[in-house]
Amino acid sequence: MHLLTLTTQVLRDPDAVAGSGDDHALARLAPPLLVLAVGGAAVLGLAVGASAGPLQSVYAAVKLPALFLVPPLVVLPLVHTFAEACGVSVPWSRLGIATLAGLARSGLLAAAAAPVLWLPFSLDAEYHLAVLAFVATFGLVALPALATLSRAVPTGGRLRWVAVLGTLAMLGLVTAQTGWLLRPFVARPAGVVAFLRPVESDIFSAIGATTRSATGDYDDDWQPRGSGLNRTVRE
Amino acid sequence: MSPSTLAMMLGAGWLLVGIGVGGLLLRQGQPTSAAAAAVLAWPAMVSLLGAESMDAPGAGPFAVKITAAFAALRAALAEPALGGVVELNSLQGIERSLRRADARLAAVDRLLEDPVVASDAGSVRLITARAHAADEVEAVLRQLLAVRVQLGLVALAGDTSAVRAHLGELAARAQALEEVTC
Amino acid sequence: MPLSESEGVPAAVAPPLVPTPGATPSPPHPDLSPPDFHARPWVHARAVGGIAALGLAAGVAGQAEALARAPAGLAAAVGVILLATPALVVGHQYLRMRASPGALLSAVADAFTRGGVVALGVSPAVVWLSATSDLGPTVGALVLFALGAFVLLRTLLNLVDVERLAGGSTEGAGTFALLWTGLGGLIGLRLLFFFTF
Repeated sequence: MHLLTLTTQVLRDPDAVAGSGDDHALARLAPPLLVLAVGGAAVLGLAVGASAGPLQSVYAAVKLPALFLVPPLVVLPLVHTFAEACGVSVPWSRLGIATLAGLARSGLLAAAAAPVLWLPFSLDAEYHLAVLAFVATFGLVALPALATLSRAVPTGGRLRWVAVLGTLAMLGLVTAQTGWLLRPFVARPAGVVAFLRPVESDIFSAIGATTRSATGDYDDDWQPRGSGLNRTVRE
Repeated sequence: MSPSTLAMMLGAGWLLVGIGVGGLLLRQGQPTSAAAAAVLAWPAMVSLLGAESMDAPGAGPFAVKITAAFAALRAALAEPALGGVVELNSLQGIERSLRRADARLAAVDRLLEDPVVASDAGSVRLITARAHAADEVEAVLRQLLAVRVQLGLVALAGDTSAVRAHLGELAARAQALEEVTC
Repeated sequence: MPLSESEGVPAAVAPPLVPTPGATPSPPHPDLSPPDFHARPWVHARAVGGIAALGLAAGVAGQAEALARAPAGLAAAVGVILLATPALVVGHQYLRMRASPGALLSAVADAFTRGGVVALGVSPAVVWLSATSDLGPTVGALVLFALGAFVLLRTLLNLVDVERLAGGSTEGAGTFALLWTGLGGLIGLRLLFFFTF
């Protein structure tokens, strides 16, 4: 399908694209949808990294598509099995195409939001405000993808609310940790531009330490340490 | 382990699995673009493993014509002036029915290649039914060409009702291919 | 598909646990959808594998203690079934409720099977979290608790369903099912701590 036509359809009526979900449609539509998702996320990455120079822009443009793609794809098996457990049958191909259609829509919205974000970043916006603006933008453009995926699951079933809550919770967890793994996207003003920072602890312990610091509690000597597989290899 | 190594390892692992899935899709006859997309988005595309390819080896005598006809129709619908005239779902249903009929023709052809079957008295009826089914598939393909011509009229006059009605008839006719009797 | 040949209950179309390609069956009355009690054996195997996979996923970063606790979830699930279901059957029959013992056991098995299938689906996410952080065991435990609650909730609904389909009173069945699932939950928690610490 012509990319421009697909762009129009994804923006105006993503459910129609998501609803065309059989295996043939998936094979045909997956490549252009992926191009839209990755391209749009990369454009947002270019804008987000702008405050620290062109190298950081390129780094962020490479990493942001991964932040878009990895969490929903990792959580996709949970969506399928939870729907099954609630008594709702949804073909895997339909979920796959709905996920990609949602991601394409979010990618396009991200590309549209990029200039809005770039303006303050290019004027050396304060670091913490910049991070908050990035997180807020990411959350806003990701919502349509969630909506498209949730509408792809047929109605009905029992304990559906458990499936929705559980999936959202796991998606939030995986997204937060993936973002932590792939940081930095917004470089610190005096920091060295780096592709990735060491895998230290996890986002929740870091948030806890930051919160304590923000309340003036500097006594706790929280030190970042290797975690997950990184810690295992070091030990 | 260097700072980026863990992320690189996970990324490499993801891509390796993706390359494996993409390779399997290529072997199955899926389009190259789908196999390439699977390198990044393989969790969403695992359902294609084992799925029937659009141009599967088992496809019948009309496989190439069906592919060409729908490619041309979709290309025509990609014109900005004609966007939204037809829903994707209506085309897919017709294509699916045509491909199933084509696959059945291929199965019958393989059966008739057996000299024992071909020389049986009952094979006359089978050959007649096969010819009838093939005529129906050809008729639907000719109608698809007529739809493309109608799309040109839509581009000029803007009236989409005739095209939709024509596609509705085609969908019913394609559905009837599932019920072709001797 | 009849629930039980001996019950004489009219056959009801149950939504299959495993999706049929191209089909999206839905029950005629969603509120009365009967549990699918005649799932094929491989569905149960998938559920058991799912709970085991969840335990392994939580310890994928190679933390020895976490790996040692990997079978805890499966052991707790089996323990609840073995310890609590006799009480379910005995109490149900003593109170002269209508559903047969077979239907009760099927109701419990159906709920555990659904929970196991979800455990399989959540395992990739837990693997990801475990490989990239120290959250693996914590998330694994939280997921196990959440799944346990889901399974008990589903068991409660299934037990009310089988009683209603057998022509019994749903109020009494609901109260009994609530008490039994509470007992099952407490046993499950105790077993989980026993196998974990």
